[in-house]
Amino acid sequence: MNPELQNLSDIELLDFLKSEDKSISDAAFREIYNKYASRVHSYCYKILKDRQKAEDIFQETFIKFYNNVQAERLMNGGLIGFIITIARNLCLNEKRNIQDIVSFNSVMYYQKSEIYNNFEDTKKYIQDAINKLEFAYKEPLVLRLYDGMEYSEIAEICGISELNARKRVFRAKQKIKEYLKPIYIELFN
Amino acid sequence: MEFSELLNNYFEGGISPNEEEQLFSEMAQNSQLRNELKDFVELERAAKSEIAAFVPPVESTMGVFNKLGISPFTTAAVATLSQIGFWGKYGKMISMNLFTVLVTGLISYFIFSTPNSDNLTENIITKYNETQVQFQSNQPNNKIPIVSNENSENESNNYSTANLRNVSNKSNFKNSKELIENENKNESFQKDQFENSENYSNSLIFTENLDKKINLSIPEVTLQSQFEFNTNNFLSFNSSNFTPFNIDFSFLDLHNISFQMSGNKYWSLDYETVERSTNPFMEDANFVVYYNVNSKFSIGIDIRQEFFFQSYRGMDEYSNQYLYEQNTNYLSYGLVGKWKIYETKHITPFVQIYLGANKVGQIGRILTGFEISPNSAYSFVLGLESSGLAYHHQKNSYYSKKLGAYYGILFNF
Repeated sequence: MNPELQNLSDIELLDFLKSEDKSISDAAFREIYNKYASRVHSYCYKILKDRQKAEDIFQETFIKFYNNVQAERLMNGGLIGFIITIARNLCLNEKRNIQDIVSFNSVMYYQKSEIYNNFEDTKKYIQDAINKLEFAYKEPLVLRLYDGMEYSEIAEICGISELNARKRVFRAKQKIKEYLKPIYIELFN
Repeated sequence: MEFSELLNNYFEGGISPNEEEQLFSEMAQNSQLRNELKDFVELERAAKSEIAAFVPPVESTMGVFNKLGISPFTTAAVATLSQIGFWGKYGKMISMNLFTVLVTGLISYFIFSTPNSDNLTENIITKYNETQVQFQSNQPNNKIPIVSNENSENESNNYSTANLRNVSNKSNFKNSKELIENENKNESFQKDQFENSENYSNSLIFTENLDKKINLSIPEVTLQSQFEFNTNNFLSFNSSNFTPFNIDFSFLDLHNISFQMSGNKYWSLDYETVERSTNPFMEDANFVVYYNVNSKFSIGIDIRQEFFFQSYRGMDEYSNQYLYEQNTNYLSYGLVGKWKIYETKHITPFVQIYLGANKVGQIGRILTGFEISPNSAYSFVLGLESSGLAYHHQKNSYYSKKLGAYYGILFNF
């Protein structure tokens, strides 16, 4: 990361990004990418089940952000909210085009009699359970758990109230517990 | 509100102290609620440990930057480049090269310069051109001139004196008489400067039976190799063993030894995602001492400062996976075997194998190149070198590879 740009606010970075001096705007873009790429990637990765599609959408998000940034204004959620919204729209478009397919392996998890003995297994089950959530619950949970967003930011991105966002995240967690219950039962019996 | 929801809100940091008290009171009795707490913790951990979700693949990053026509490389340089100018951009490289040239020149000078009586004389004259020269009155005139410090002179009562200055002419010492005479004629030498040494302690020439008033035909002086010089009582030498610019290696059998200084310009064969951790002095430089077994084959010891880009995965005690990437400076030590494929008068192609190690792993290299020899004393070396570092982390093996240009100068003793 560029130490000179590292401490700048989102608004300042956006100003640099709009600079006519290409070296400055490029440096600002690199800084924004370094700062937010992991969060945007985790969103695409979790929302779309297809790994390759997720990578495509991830790339497209940043390209669209760079190309349209001149005309845009920041939302309350700041730069990350703005970029995630671009990613969200692209993901929704993509989801309309593809059919949700639950992989065979995912289904089989509940029939396996593997011993629930370490964190790697738990992690695998939890991550799979998150993937199984309905979009309306999964998206707020991913934004909360993976992107660390505040409920107000989640509400703005998802177009719901803050209270509703909080409820959805809680419901998502309850659903994950329900998904995992058979495994717990198997473990403790 | 259910306790489950209260627990969730506790995790989200949104409950009052009163609710918190209720929650913990309930949790103390309710094992199911305690299990729910564990579930929340596990859920957080599972999400945070999903490396693949958080780390965009290199291909994706490159895809973004390539499509936008922006270099993914950093950043620090780019933003400040326009401000730091030419010297900031190339200064380090230029200064390093100048330093290398300077060191090479000095070593060449020390090794190749030979003792020479003329040089010796010139140096002495030049060096001591403002020192008092005295000719002892009780010595034969053609014998022993002494160069001495005025402060050490305490026997001046017996001498007549004259002041000699600027005797810096690069003439042969054997012409010193003429030189002194010329000095007398050309410079503002005045006869009234001849005074008894008891009264003067400045730089003086002492002569026996010298006409105090005028005559400066000075004693007969023939400076030859048997002269002894005394300077400030801390250095004495004579010309037979005075070899200040020649290192005498005769006590060692160095005929089969060669010394090489080299620089390298490397490119990692892996995509470097991080910059070099430091920029140490003499980075990418190495030194080799060869023992020439025969005209075709040499073995040697190689020490070099170099960088390796390393990318490896690890797992912490909580089974969280991490991707480590570093571009670290190492000091590497190794043994080399060099085979000269064939020899011509000036150009000798060769192949060199290196086996060595640094503090993280083992290193292997192969260098192919040629020596360009203006004469038998030294050669310029140019080549292409491929290096590999093998290292381990948590029982997994990793390799770091790089390819580079190799250039240096080789001295034969």
